[in-house]
Amino acid sequence: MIRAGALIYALFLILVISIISSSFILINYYNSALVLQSLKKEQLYREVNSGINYGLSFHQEIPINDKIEVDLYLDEKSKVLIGKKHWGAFYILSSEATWKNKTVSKSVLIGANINEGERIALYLADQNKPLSLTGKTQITGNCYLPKSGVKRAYIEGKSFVGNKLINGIKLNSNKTLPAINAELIAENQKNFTPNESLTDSLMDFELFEEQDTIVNSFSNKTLVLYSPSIIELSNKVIAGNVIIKSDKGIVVNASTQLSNTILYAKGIVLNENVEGNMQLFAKDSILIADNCQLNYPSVVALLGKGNTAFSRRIICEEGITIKGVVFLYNENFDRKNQAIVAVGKGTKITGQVYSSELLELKGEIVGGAYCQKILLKTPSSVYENHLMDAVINRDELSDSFVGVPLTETIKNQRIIKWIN
Amino acid sequence: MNTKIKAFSIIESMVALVIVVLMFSLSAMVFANVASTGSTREKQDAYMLVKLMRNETFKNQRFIDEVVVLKNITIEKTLLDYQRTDNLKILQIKAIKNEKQLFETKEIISVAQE
Repeated sequence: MIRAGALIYALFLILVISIISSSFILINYYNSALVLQSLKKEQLYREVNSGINYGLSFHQEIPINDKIEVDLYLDEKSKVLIGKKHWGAFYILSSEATWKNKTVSKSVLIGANINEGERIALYLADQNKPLSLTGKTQITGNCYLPKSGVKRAYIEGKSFVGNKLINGIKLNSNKTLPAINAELIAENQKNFTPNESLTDSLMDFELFEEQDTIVNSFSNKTLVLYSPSIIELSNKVIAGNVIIKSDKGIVVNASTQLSNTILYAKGIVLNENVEGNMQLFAKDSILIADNCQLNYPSVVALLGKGNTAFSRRIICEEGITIKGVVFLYNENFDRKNQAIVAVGKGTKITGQVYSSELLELKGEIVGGAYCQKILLKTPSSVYENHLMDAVINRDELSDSFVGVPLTETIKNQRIIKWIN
Repeated sequence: MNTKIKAFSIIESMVALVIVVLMFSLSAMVFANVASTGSTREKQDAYMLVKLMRNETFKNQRFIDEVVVLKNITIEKTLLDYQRTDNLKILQIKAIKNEKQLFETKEIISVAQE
């Protein structure tokens, strides 16, 4: 019979060996799991980015306010959820990829690559009146003008200073402006009313009146703050996925900072020195006081519906900077109360300007302008289709500028900014 | 002092030794097996090289087919057509060693934008 005293030592040694080996195996397992997780996370980011690129190319196939599952490489391995929703005049495109319990998502603000279309400096509808230029007016870029053409004018003691009237090609315009994007108008006109929606959370503005910071991520539901009366925004920071609606008016003071926010109201007033990045949609009037700065991408839009006893207007006073899009669309034309976009002295709009009726331009537009008629008001008189000391320069608009497809169907969408 | 030290018999010691050696070799085999199935140094090198190639491609906007050999690993960058549109391409980067694929990434890029 063999005595088994030594086996106790053997068992002890086996225990030590097994503890050491299992620790090695555990370390290896956790290391592998960590590496796998980080690799998978990077793969998810690649898939999300791929989803965004896919969404930009096939944006017309993505339903609004819904998500579709896309098999990126048709191999059942890389699937992403792509969604699209309106954000004022632009769209928000989102992409989401999931692996086990890990989800990665990104959202981008997208707009139309307007440089893909015709690069027009000025489109003035043909109302059988020529365009008259005076003072230091400069127009650079191709222009659609009335058949009666363009001429020099001498008014208010000023004559045209410059060698060429138009630094670009002159083409004949039609009697009416190219029709504005109907979907853009309809979608935003719908938003003036505080509708309950599955994708938004509608709240009473009074609940937030005392709150100085209102920030909402684009990965959450849109926060819609509504009031039936006038809203005055002072000493507030409002950023992100927030829409403010009023049945009457919204007044923004310089002490308020708005970022990515959309305002819908009957009338909107930006008091002096307001700075931020916002989209303003009004039914009747928008007044932007001196020295306001609306950073890219901002939108100033007036969408008139029905008749009024006054003229609808977007007034940009003096020394204002707007980078984005300014457009006015009045459904019913009223000869007595014509709608107008007025751009004051020292005001610079970089982007697109569209007025379905009148445009008064005393400042500068880096980009293109569309209007039915141009109006020039001086202390002594009112002139039709006259420009004095105004600048329109289409060539200076950056190739990277992404805007709104106001008149053309533009297939390619581009990223304006990453918002989430 | 007449103390007797109790010793193990030679057979007893041999049996214990055999058991210990068996267990040790078994655990070594299991460990080697586990270590080889996870992320090896070679795979990590491949991953780093693919990542480097991807970053350089985006940084220098170098969207062309390329083959580079680094640390005995062949990095193959291929730009494949994407279905239905010319605006999109698939950027595929593979790391290969001795005809064995170590790592691969794929992503859709927008050619119009890039």
